[in-house]
Order: sequence, then C-alpha cells, then structure tokens
Amino acid sequence: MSDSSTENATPPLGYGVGLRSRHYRDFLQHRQPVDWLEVHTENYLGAGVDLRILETLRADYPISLHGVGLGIGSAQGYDSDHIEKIRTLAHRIRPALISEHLCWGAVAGRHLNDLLPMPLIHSALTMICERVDHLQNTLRQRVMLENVSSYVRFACDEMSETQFLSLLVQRTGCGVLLDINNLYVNQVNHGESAQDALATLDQLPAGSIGEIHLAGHLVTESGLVDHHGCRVDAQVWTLYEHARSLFGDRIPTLIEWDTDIPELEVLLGEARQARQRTERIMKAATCNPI
Amino acid sequence: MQSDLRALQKSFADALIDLEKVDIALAGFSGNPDLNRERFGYYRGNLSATWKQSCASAYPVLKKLTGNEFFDELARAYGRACPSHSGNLTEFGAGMAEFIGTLENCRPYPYLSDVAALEWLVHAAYFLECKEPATLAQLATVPVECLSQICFRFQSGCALLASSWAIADIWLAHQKNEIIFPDQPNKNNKCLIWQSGWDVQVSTLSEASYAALKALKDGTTLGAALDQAMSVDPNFDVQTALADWFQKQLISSIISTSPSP
Repeated sequence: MSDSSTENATPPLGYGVGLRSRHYRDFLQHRQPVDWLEVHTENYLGAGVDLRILETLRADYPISLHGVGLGIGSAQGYDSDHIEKIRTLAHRIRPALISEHLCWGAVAGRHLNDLLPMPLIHSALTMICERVDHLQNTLRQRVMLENVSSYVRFACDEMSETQFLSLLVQRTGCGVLLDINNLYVNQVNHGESAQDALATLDQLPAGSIGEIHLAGHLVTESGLVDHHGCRVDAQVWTLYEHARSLFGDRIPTLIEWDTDIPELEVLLGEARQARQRTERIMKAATCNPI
Repeated sequence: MQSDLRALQKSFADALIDLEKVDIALAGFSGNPDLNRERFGYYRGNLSATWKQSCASAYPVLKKLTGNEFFDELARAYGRACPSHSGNLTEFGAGMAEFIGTLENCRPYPYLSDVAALEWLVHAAYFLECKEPATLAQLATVPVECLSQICFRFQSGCALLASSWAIADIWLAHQKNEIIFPDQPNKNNKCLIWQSGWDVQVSTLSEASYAALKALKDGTTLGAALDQAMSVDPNFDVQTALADWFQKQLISSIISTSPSP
C-alpha cells in the first residue's frame, strides 16, 4: 500500500462536492456538512458575481480549482492568456488543489471545448511534460492531471493511459487526479482493466495520487457515457473501495455532478457514502492485516 | 498509420464539424469500426450540446422569443460559422447579434439582433468586476465651483445601448413568469445595463439621461454632459438623475479635473 499518511503531516482534506451555481444559495445561507469544494476553474476567470461568491466561500471551505478548458494536450499550442488568468485566480483563491485533464481541446482557429482523448504516444508525452513543467513553475504549485473517459482509442497508441500518466508523474512530479468512474467507463468501453490501472498507479511514489473523483455514468447500447448526471454506480463504488484499500484513506474524494443537478442533499449523501465505505474498508484492513 | 499529433487532432476536429470527414478520422482509431462510429457520435453530440447550452446561458430571452427548436438550430449554425476561440465558454457567443443580422430567416423579426446585443451586455456584465461604488456623500464634498469640471469612472459592467426597437421592454417582459410582449416593439429604447448586488439589471433611460450618461462614459466633464442632456430636454431633472445613478451604484469613482489649489 502506497499510503502517504506517514509522511504527510497536514490533515487530509476529506470528502468534497463540486460547487455548482444551483447550490450557491445553500452554501451562502448555511455552513454545509462537507469538507471542501471543487469548482471548474473557467467559471471563475472573470471578476464578477461567481468570483465574489467563491471568495466568500473560501473562508469556510478549502477550494480546489479543476480546469476544464486548458486542453494541455492540444498540439497547436495552449493559451498563455488562459494560464495567466489561472495564475491570477490561484493567487486570489489560494486553492488547496489545482488540477487539469489529460486531454486536448483545440486546433488552429477553433476551440472544441471538450475533454478529447489524447493519442497515447511518446511525442505527446514529451510535449505534455514540457507544458506541465511550465504550468507548475507558473503556478508555483503541484498540478494534478486527471484520467478521462474516452469513447475511442487511437490505432497509433503506444501505451495505456495509466502508463502515460505514470511517466508524466515520474518526469514532472505532477500528481494524478484519479477518476474512478472514468476508469470504469474505459474498462467497459475498451476492455481496459481498471484493476490493472490501479495496480500500475500503486507503483508510483507515495502521495502521487492527489485526489479521487466519483461520478455517475449513463448506460447506452453502444457503451457507457460519462455524463455526471446520476448517483455513483455500484461497480464504481466497488472499484473505489479497492482503490482505498491500495492507496489508503488520506486522498481527498470528490463527488461530481454536472447534468440534471439535484438538490445539494443528494450530493452530500454521496459524499457521506464515500466516507462510510472508506471507513469500513480501513477498519477491515486494520482487523485483517495482510 | 498516422502518428503525427497535430494531424491526428486536426482530423478528429474536422470530423466533429463535418459529417463527411468522419470516415477519415475513424480510420485512425483502434477497435470495432461500427462501435467507433457510434461513439464518435458522442463527441459530435457534445459539441452541439455545448454550443446550445452556452448560447442558452447567454441568451435566455432570445431562446424564449424564438422557441427551443429554432434557437437550438441557431446555436448550431452559430457554432459552425463562428468558432469558439477560448477554453472559457463564457466567452462563446459574443458575435450572435451580428450573426443574426446575416440570417434570412430572422429578417421578419428585426429586433432579434438588438435583443441579442442587449443580452450579451447583460451576460458580460455578470463576469466583470464590481468595485466599491462612489457615493452621493462623496459628491457632496466636491466644492460647488468645481462640480462642472469633475468626471466619473463607471463600473466596468455598466453599459448603455440604443436601439430603434423596444428591446429593454422586451427583455424586462421576459423576466416574468407571464410574458406579455410589448404592444409597440418598434419603439426606440435607450437601455442601461448595470450590476446590482449578485445580479445584473436592465432599465430604460430617457433620451436626456442617456445623452448625459453616454457623454460621461466617454469621459466628458459633468458640466458638459449635463449641458448635452439639457439640449435634449430643457426640463431634465439633474438632481433626480444624479440620485438615480448613485443609488444604482453605476459610478466607481469621482475624478477631479480642476488644477490643485
């Protein structure tokens, strides 16, 4: 088990939910029983109402900035203005965590505003390593890269996504934002073993995995779609428990919900379930040490 | 087998925009070709959904005016014709008013373009900084003999818009549950857009008040701006107008242009 608990003196962040505008009022009116909040970075790059709300809430909750628009793997280049805006926001919010996605999102002349799958090839790895170095130097903070749900794979792929992420961690010192639902979606869609992926990540230095995401997916006739629009699937909970047994209970866990967003209580319930499942797994591990 | 990153992404992007180029992109994928075709459709669907959702977020009144089906097609056409240039989706849609002006099927509704222009100013104001406002009490500290020479700085979200259509009336009507379309859409409207607390508001301005605010926003002194308002309406009520501007917190600072004693 590559638990980082023995070397990390700071208390773990715990269990968080994604902050969405629908729930602003809930958070502004009452302190909610959740340990931390994650926001989509791009929603706060302006200086208006959203940022004022975030600046208010950061007094009560540690904040994670989760980027969805940088497209760090876009071969045509990535936007230095966008990075500068992230730097300015990070300076104001002082986030506990900063993350981006292992994806691309733009070609010359057009942003596609999606988390598009990377060709998993060495030249892409070299390019993204340089950009992660630049990003971490600019932000003066470790950045995590998240594994994404992918609906196609490239014929030219030279490694798995987890191997790609592992090499990225080893070369740049960045972290991994491990999305358990995405692992499961890719397992079903592409026959990629999620257990093998977790085993590969378990070889990384302690503390490499900096955050875990949980979300719901949609089942369709042609595969699973990562729509973040329902509760976490039972199979994903099982994988989460396995990840907890491998990596320990200190890694912050987040519930994401982006489509048909329900009452806040539903998200809080999912976060409670993550905590309870973790406590059960850790208790069992203590009672039955290997 | 193509393994040039830039070429792979270009092929992928081309296929997202143009259905006829999907086969070229599919040739670069591993796995079952039929499943790949269906799953690539998720990405094409995502792109279309992103355009629709982003436009709906910026243009809620336009959506109500045109109906869901027409609006969704408008958003798709806009997305294809006017590419997003930012990873920040709140910037997508800035050219909608101009785009509508080019569409033949919008000609019967000539106010749509100006409604879109108004909605974009409202949308943009939501993301702009709102500074600590200047107050009437601060204005009262300016010596009377210097008042005509002062200038105002406005909040960045404070905007003006003039239209030959009743766009502010249309916008305001669509903030209510029961929408009553204005009787006279072909009525001039001078619009004020401003940040109010956690929200953005729209109101109509008199011709004189609009003239004064426009001059002040252009950097004209208070004295010259009020002269312009008076030339539009000799009965322009200066005190009421000033009280209204400060009550709405439009002004962020008062600038003295008089030489220091």
